[in-house]
Amino acid sequence: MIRDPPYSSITRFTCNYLFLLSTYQQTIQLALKEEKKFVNLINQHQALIHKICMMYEMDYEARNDLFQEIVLQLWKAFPSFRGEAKITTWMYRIALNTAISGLRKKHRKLITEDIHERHLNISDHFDTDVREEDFQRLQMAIHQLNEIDRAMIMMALDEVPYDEIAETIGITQNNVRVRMNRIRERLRKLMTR
Amino acid sequence: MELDDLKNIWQKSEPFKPKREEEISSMLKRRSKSIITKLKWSVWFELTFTIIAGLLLLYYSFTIEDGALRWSFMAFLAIFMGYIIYYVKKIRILHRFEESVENIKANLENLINDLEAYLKFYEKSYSIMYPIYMVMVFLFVIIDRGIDQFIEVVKDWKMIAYILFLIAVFLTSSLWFTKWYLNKLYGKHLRKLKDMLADLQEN
Repeated sequence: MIRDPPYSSITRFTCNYLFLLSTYQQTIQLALKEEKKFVNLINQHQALIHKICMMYEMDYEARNDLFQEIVLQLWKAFPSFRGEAKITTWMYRIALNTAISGLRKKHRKLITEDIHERHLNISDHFDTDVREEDFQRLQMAIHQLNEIDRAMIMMALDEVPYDEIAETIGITQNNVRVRMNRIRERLRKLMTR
Repeated sequence: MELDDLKNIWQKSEPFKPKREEEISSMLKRRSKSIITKLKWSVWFELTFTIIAGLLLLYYSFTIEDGALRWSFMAFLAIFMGYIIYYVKKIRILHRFEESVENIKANLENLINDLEAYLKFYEKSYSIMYPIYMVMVFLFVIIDRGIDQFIEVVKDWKMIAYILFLIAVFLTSSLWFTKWYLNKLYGKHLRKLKDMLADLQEN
């Protein structure tokens, strides 16, 4: 019977240990790389998430909670994103699903708060100029739409094509057109009131 | 005001404080604050507590000599086993609530189905549990007073009518309370989801 030299088991153990260590390090590096990629992505498109939070939640705390919830849901779904859809369409879909249908803790503020209060809620770093006032009026008007119409107008304002809006909502392009006309008309009335 | 004017207002405005990369990165390590996550945690906690309490009860029941007491412990253990099955099933239903990457309409349909299944299961399990509690009460009375005295008491038809009345009141009020509680917790949300879906289906 041929016996292994005495050092061979030690060598085998060391080799296995080094192999496992390098695999572990590779996995960690890969995970870190993925995380960095994801954080960059969110950083690039955070305006999209912020605007959804502003349109679906009224107070600062609730917006922050929703922002975090959306980021977590996107992170969970990130490994399954294969780039078949545009990244913004994918983000819209998950973010809107989270905002519209997610069961979240209800916060106290209602839609009836006055303009001044709302102005304070928007941001500490937004210059008080005409643009701000216009945005506030637009925001007020959008808040008065139902959840689905809010989602549609937000995408339309971000120049998302109608076919992508239809795909995100789950209705036909024709329906998108009809609904968009209705929403536009309603917004026009609300903004000129 | 035309849509292009609105786009102009929308796209040029950044009325928020952008989050730094480190802030976004730290968000990935935090736990979700959604109600589903909280429900999952509480069910896991209850499941762990039930298992530990069940094991302690099992150990204790073997150390005592009193036959009647041991049997009442065994009855509790049987109920604990039922609860373990209940919690596991609840966790499985809650796992179905994971946010969907499907379109909004499909996601709404899934959510409504899952929420209805969850509420149905909740209600059904309580309508099974309450009669079991009643049987347990009788069992303890028999253990405490002895079977002979128990039979003596229930021989009287007035007593039987009184017990049946109490059972009916207990079961009706408990089932009504469960329904009311579930409706208070999830009814409004379920109706909101259904209205949104109906609005999408109208088109």
